[in-house]
Amino acid sequence: MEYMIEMKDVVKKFKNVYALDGLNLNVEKGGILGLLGHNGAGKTTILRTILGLYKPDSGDVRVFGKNPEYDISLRGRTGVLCEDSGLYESLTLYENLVFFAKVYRMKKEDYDARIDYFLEEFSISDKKNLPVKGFSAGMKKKTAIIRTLMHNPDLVLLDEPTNALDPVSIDKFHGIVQKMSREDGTSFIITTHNLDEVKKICSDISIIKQGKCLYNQNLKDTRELYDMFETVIECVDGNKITLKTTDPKAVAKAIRELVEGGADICEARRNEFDLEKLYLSLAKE
Amino acid sequence: MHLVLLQRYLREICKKKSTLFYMFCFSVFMALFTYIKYGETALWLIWYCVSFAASFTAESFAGEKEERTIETLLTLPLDLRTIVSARVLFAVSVCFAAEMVYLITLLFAGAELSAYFFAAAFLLVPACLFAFCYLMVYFSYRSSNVRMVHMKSAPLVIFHIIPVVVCLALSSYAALFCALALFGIEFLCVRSRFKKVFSAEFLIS
Repeated sequence: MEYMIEMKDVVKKFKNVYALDGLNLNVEKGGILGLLGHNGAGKTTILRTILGLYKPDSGDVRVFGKNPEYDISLRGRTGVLCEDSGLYESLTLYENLVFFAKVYRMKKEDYDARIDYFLEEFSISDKKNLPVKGFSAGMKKKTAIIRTLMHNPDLVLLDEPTNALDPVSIDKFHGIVQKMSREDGTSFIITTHNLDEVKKICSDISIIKQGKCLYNQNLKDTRELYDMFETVIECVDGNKITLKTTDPKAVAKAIRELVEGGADICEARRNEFDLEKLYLSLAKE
Repeated sequence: MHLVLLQRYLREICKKKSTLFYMFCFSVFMALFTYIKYGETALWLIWYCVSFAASFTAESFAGEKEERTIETLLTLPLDLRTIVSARVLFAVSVCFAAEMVYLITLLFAGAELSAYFFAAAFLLVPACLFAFCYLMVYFSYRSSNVRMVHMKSAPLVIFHIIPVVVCLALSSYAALFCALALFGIEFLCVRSRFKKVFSAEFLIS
C-alpha cells in the first residue's frame, strides 16, 4: 500500500508534557483521515509535525517518503488550512490568492482559472476585488479553503475546516474534498469535532488522546463492526429490548416470540453506526 | 521567492497611502531642516533612515504574529532565511527611496553636495541599514507584538544619533569614524545572532 504519510513511534515533548506519546499513524494515497480528539489531545501538533514545523524528540516521520524537517519543498505539494484564516487583511481576496499562488509557483493562466473556478463554487465571485478586512469569518474561511486547494496539492491538512461555514458551503466543500480524493488521489487529514462530517466524508478515523492514537481504523470496517452490534425492539408500553445482533433471521425470530408472548410491538429498528458513542467510549477510557 | 514576498510587502504599504504621504513630507522637512540649520549633514541620514527602518522591520515577525498569519506563512514552501532577508531588503529599499527624496530636496534647495556626502549616503547608510534591519528582524522574531519590538529596540535606535551629535560637537571625520564603529558593532551582533538558526517551532509555540 502506498502511504503519503508514515509516523512511527513519534514522541514530542514540550517541557515535561507529552504532546505526542509514541504516535503511529499512516495515511494512504487518496485517503481522507478524520482526526478526532479532545482539545489539547495533540491533533494540531500532529499536523505541525507532518509539516516539519515541529521536530520530534524521537520516532520517524515520512511525508512522500521524505523527512519533512529537512525538505521544505514537500510543502509545495501540501495545502494547509490552519485554525486562523492566515489572510492579509489589507489586501483584496484576489491579491491574497495571487500571493499564495506565486509562492506555490503556479502560472498566471493556471491560478486565474483555478481561482475563478473556486470563487464560482463558493458563490463569492463578486467579492474578488474587495479587501479581506471587511469579510465575515465565514467569508475568510472560504477564501482560506480556496488558498489551500487551488494549487491542486497531493496532500491537504485541514484544521477544523468547516467552523463558521454555512450549510450550503459545507456541502460544496465536502463535494470538492471527495472529488479531489477520488479523481486526483489527493490525501486529506481533517481535524474536526463535527462527527457527522467525519461519517459523511472520511474513509478512515483516528481518535487521539494525550498524544496517543487510541483507535485507527478504516471507517467502513468500523461501520460494519458496529452495525452488527444492536437492534432495538420497542413495545407500546415503553419497554425496550436490545438485541446484540443485526441478523435479520434472529431479529424476526425474536419479534415472533415476543408477539406470541403477548407483547405489543410498535417499532423495531437497527441502530445506525454511532460514531459519537464510539468516540465517547474510547475517550472516557 | 524574494520577489514574491517583496511584491506583497509593497502592495501592503501602497494600501497605506497616509504612511507614504507622511514619509514623503518628513523626508522633505528633514532635508530642509538639516540643510538650513546645520548645512550639509550627511550623518543625519543614518539616524533618519534608521528611524524609518525600525517601523518597517518591527512588523516582520511580530506583525505576522499579531495578525495571526505567521503559522500559515510557515506552512508555505519558504525558507525562514528567505522571509528574513526579504523583510530586510524591503525595509532597506523603502528607506533608500526616502533617502532619495531627502537628496533631491537638498539639491532643489541649492545644496552643494560633497563626495563625502555621497560616500555616506550610498555606502555607509545602506551598510548601517542592513546591519540595523537584521537586528530589528531578530528583535521582531523574539517578540510577541510590535509594541514589544519597539520597546526592546529603542536604545538601538537612539544609538544611531551618536554620529550626528559627534558631527555637531567635533568634526565630520570624527562622526564618520563613529558611524563606522557603530556599523562594526552592529555587524558583529548580527553575526553572533544569526549563527543561531531561526526556528519555526519557536515562532508558533
